[in-house]
Amino acid sequence: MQADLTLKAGRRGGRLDIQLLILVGILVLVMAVSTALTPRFLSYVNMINVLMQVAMIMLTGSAAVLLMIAGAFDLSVGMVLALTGVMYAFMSKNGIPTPLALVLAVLIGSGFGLLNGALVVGLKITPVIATLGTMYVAQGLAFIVAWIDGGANVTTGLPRDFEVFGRTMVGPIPMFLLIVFAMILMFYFLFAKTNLRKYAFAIGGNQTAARLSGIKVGGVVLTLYVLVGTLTGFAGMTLASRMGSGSPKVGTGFEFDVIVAIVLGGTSIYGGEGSFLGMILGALIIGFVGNTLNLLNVMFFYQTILKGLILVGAVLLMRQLRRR
Amino acid sequence: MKRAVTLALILVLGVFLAANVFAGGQGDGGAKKSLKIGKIPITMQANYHQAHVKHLIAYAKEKYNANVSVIDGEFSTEASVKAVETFISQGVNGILLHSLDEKVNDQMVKAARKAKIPIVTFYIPTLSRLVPHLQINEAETSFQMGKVAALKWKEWYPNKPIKIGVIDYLTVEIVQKHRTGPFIAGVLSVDPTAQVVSKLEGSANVQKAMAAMQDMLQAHPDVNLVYGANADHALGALAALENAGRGKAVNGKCLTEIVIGTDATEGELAKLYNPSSSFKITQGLQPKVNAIAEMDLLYNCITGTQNPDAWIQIDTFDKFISYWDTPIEEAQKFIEEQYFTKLDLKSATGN
Repeated sequence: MQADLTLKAGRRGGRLDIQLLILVGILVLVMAVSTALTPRFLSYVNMINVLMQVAMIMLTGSAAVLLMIAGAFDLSVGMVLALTGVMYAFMSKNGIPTPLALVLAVLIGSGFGLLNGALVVGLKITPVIATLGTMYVAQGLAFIVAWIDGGANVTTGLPRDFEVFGRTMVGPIPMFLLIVFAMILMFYFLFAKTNLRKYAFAIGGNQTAARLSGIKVGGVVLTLYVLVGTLTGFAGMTLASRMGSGSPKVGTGFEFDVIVAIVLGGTSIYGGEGSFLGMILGALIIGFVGNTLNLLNVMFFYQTILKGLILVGAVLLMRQLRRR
Repeated sequence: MKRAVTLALILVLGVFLAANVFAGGQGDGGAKKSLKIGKIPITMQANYHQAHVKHLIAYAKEKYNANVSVIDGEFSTEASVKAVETFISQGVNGILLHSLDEKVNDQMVKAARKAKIPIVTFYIPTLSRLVPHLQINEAETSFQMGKVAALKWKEWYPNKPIKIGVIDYLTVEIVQKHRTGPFIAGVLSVDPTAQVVSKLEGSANVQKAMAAMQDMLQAHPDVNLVYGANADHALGALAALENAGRGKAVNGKCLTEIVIGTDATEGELAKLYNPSSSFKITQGLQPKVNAIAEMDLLYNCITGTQNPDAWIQIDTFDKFISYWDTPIEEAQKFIEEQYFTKLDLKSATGN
């Protein structure tokens, strides 16, 4: 198979390539402007900072992009991120060996993915409603666990190795970053080499036709939800380890960060079209814009306006492209 | 048959509702009626507010035989407005309100007073100063924190200019007035040449605070007084510093910066009393003190001892806590009394 970074849909692949080129152009432009505006932008430490900040978005986005291509999405990822972090901290603090707590936290994420899939596929609840519901459940559980621990965060009494995963360096690079990017690459190739991506595109393009052609639509969507939950669980655990605490308040707006990265990357919210690499580029664009604005001390309120404008502008540009 | 069952169910429901409507007016055999108090904390997602509510419930019951119902303000004016409306419809005897916005407080207070329900505001008053108000005077302790931080820095590193970085609550005006502003003023009172190099939004979220601090360190690596406007901001900032190989001290002498926080949560104090951490100063809000003061004020309004429509401000104070000036035993007593904690600070900090 020809090396292909775009996960082409059944449509003409050329259009997606152009979209990706535009995204690369936007990213280069953002970086060029940032470099001109602040000398501290283009430094190794700053690049690593931005990558650390967007790594969780990219990790969850790795599975969420396929889910959106298949015509579904998951609004619970933010709160599942919070819950898995809190549970990782709570379990580590209460006698479960840290490596086991790490695995269990990830499995909790998988469990929520399975629940989401069951609600959407099994009970035929629309994804917005199903995942909104599980979002609230996860949020409440995160606060309850912290409250059982005695407060609003799980911060004290954590074992020494709690922070190892999130803070260990391999030379100049954070270990968790290497692992996260290895996982992202692994998922990319998994999707590229298996039928999962083909099925996702087929389902997103025309669910009925996909079913009639023998694709187990429910099974594919369920699998994607479980993958999203698993990766989110891993992200939540990693974040808690980096922060040195489990906080129920993390992840607020995370689901929208993931969706923005995916949509900015050229994936249609209606399904059937999208790009893994586009999602990566979208996350980087948003990450670098936020980073530059912070470096320039731009007031927070202007930052949110600018992010909105970038998102809408990029989507309008993509739409113009689709019309040609 | 179906119709008969439906009618029977409606009848039962009607009897049930009617019973509840009339039950409110029945006596209960002469037993003293307990007061019903509605409490709206600004959020229940923070240690301080959880402890405040816990103390309030216990104190109200013990002192005044009052039952407190709590509706979480969810850090949202809409949720607070709905909560006030709910309490009004329940006919509570009094309302304790901690909400975000002075102007909207006016409307909520007017609604309560129209229903003849006494209402006391906490921390954020009414814009028009309509009803009694309990205020934590954080400005004094915030000023003191800034002063002490600056003095320590000048003592250790007289040749390094003070550069202040703040992880702030830019969306909450009163925090600027009571915390950030006075903190900076305290620093400037020691060193008028000190500069605020960066103020970034933390959104009361440790993850966002950490990300903001990472960016601040990139833009201003020479920042040396780092102030977090609440515990999540301070701990998030500290996490970013630690990730960058900073955040350290040797026997309480900070190496690259002093981190100053707010709230004196368990997490903060565990870092503060760690001689190897650069987190060294905070101010402890006192949920027990505040809960008692606000309940007493409200009770006086209910009984008429205090005019419920007259502006009066009662001040309480935060506790200043620093690694160098506050013995760990004192801090231990503070968190046990105020926060129901089981944490042993000495074990947690290796002291």
